[in-house]
Amino acid sequence: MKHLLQIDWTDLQYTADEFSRDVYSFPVTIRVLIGVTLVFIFIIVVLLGVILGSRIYKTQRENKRNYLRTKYQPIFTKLLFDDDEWMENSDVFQQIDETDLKIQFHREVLNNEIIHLHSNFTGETALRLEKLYVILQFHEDAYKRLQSKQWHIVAKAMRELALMNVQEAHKMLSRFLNSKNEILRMEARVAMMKLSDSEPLSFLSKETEPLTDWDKANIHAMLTRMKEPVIPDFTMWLNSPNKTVIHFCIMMIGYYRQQESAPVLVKMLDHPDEYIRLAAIRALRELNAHSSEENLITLYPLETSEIQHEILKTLEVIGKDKSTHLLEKILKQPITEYRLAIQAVRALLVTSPLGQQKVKEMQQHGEPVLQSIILHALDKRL
Amino acid sequence: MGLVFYYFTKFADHFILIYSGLLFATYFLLSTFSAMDIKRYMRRNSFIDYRDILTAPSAPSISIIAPAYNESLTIVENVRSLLNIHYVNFEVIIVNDGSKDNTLQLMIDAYELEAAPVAIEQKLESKPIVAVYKSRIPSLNRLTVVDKVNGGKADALNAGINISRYGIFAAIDVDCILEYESLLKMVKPFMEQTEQDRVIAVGGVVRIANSCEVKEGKIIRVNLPDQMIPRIQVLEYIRAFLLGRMAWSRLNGLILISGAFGMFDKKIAIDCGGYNHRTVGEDMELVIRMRRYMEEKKEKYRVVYLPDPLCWTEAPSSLKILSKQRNRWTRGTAETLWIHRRLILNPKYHFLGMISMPFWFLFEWLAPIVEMTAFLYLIMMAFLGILNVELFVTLFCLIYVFAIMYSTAAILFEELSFHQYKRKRDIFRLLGTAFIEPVIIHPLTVYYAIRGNLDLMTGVKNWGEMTRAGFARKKTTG
Repeated sequence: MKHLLQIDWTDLQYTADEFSRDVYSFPVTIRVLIGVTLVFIFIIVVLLGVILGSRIYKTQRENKRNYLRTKYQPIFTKLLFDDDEWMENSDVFQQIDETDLKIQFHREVLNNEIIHLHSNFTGETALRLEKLYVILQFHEDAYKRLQSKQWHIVAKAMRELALMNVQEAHKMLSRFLNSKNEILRMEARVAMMKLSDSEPLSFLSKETEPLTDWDKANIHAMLTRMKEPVIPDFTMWLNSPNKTVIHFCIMMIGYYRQQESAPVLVKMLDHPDEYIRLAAIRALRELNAHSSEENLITLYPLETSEIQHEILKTLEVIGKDKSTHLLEKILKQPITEYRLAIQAVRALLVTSPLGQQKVKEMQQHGEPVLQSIILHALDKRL
Repeated sequence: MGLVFYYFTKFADHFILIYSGLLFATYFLLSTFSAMDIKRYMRRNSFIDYRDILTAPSAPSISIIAPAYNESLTIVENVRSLLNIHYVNFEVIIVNDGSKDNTLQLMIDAYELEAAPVAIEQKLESKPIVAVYKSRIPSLNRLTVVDKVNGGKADALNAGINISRYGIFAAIDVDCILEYESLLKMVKPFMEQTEQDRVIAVGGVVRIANSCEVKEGKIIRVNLPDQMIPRIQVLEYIRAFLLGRMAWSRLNGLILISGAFGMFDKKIAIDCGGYNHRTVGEDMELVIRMRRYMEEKKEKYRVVYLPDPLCWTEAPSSLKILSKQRNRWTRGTAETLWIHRRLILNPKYHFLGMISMPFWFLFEWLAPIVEMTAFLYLIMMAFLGILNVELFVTLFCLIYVFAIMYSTAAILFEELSFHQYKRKRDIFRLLGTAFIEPVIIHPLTVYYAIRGNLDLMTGVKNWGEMTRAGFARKKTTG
């Protein structure tokens, strides 16, 4: 054993010298290849080190996280299922170890746990969690994160403050409304919506950048999450120079069933943009706006196939006798698009008794294609 | 003659060196772009709540189309899994492509299906439809089963598109297991598109489910495959998806979305003719044709890839099935490149013509041919006694070390991003696989690719049947 551990440095030196002499005796190409191979081997060693280091680090963090979760499980259970008295009478600080509030990672774990629970509860439980969030001063951590140079950290902090309803953060977020980063801009808008006392959608008046469907989904989700949603009259933005804002507002008119906006929506049927017209027709259907029937009938022959389909779907809901003629005409013409014909049959069946009569006649005497379309339309499952 | 031979050997030596160098440089660049894109993706999506889509009036409706051929072993479970996907407006269309077994009957019995009088408009060419079935149970109204004459996967997908109702369709292998939020994640890029930047297709990372614990159509525990062949494929998939396709997505040059799971703009897919029946690489062919269509229309567009593990599939666990799969992939690539040969180095098609297509030609289709030719060349030189042994040994070592380095980088990406293999044992086994893969399975995959090219030349057109063990039969480990 003693011999094994004794290294003959002279021998090693000799071997290294021999090796370098051998290497230098090779042509340049071979030497370059050997050099690159050695670099690659070095990179492999580094990569392996990072993989193993990362694995150890993650495992340690996971263990710590699990430990903290188990440790504070009783407190969170009490918080979720006991009444407010518990929070008022007991000093929450005493329930939580001082060290856990001082160590950054431990704070993060507790913070994430509160946010996670908050996203799954509403009502009083959510309010209690919001209260605890502020008592433990996690909002201060979020404020610090708002100063970060990394946009995703800032965005996350904004979302957190909005979710936990930290009203005083409102002012701090306004500076991000004009951020160059589109995600920060949108997060700021959505967060401010939640935290504002009135006019949560005032930013729509100043919006110059196009809103994507994803942005619209976020704005809508935040509207639905607001404690006492202040739903404005969306027609006020229907003259916006930003057509994506108009589109969003038309959708919201339909979603919130703002019946009094139907006449304005009828005017939107003349909008030059197809995308807006399509949204207006859908909203009229959601509003059950019978008054728009004639406008839709007039519009039908001038429209694209996509809009025609939407008109027929709307006529199925709001159509009366006046639609019968148009619908019958569609079915008597050579059928170019099945979906239009199927929808026309469906509309015809509900608009009037005469329409039902016409469908029966066509089913008996119509072309085979039309007969199959009628059968399709009659099947409620399709 | 001797002089000619001398110059030939010089040329061959230099060609091998330059080709290898180019390959290394390209892969290095791709990994860099991949790292950038994964980082960007994770930052963008680290704080969002996908559930917002569920209540959004602006959320698009989706048709999920899953062709099924002789899937009796798992079909009932697979359909149930698809029906339980977490989304709001969607329909599931299972296209029974003339199965020879009782796939259809099993579905009829399990879901109480009955024939429905569907009027089908043949927007895309497909073999005749025998019947369309709907369930008697109202809660299963999302499900439509199409029974048609056998025509292959592309044909079945076209039939599914013809019958679909919504503007976005997801093409999926019926035996795949989707992650709970997969549709929400896949639909997000479509919701983020603008008028000036249309998203025409979205792909997601496909992972290997062999040895994973599956319960009621959901992956409940991710395990590294116990068998060597699927385990090697885990490594291949991580490399291909996390290091390759993410980079192409970043560069907006992606031309392949896996047939296992992809989401497409239906209008564009129909306008450019749908899936091509003439190739076994219909997934890649469709993406190229959609891109080509958009380029010719001079419209801005994007093909997006998500690094999230969204879809789990069963990988071949025997060499026989692996050989069929790789053979088909090679034929698919070659056929697609041939169909769209006009695009290669054509500046009219911008990045697609100048970078993506030449890359696939040079480094995907040609690589196994170059490898095999180089191998035969070395044998010939050894036989003639003029093999440059030093060059051969150093080059072999370099390539071997590079392969390990590239795989290790892929494992690192996986570890730092999605961290799917949580057991320590798994990560060590994966690293061990990186060391043996280049000398065990890689030579075989090169051979299968060569066979694929030969089969293509001799007119073999079939898909090659893939036998699945089925997730339901897997042992569950505690």
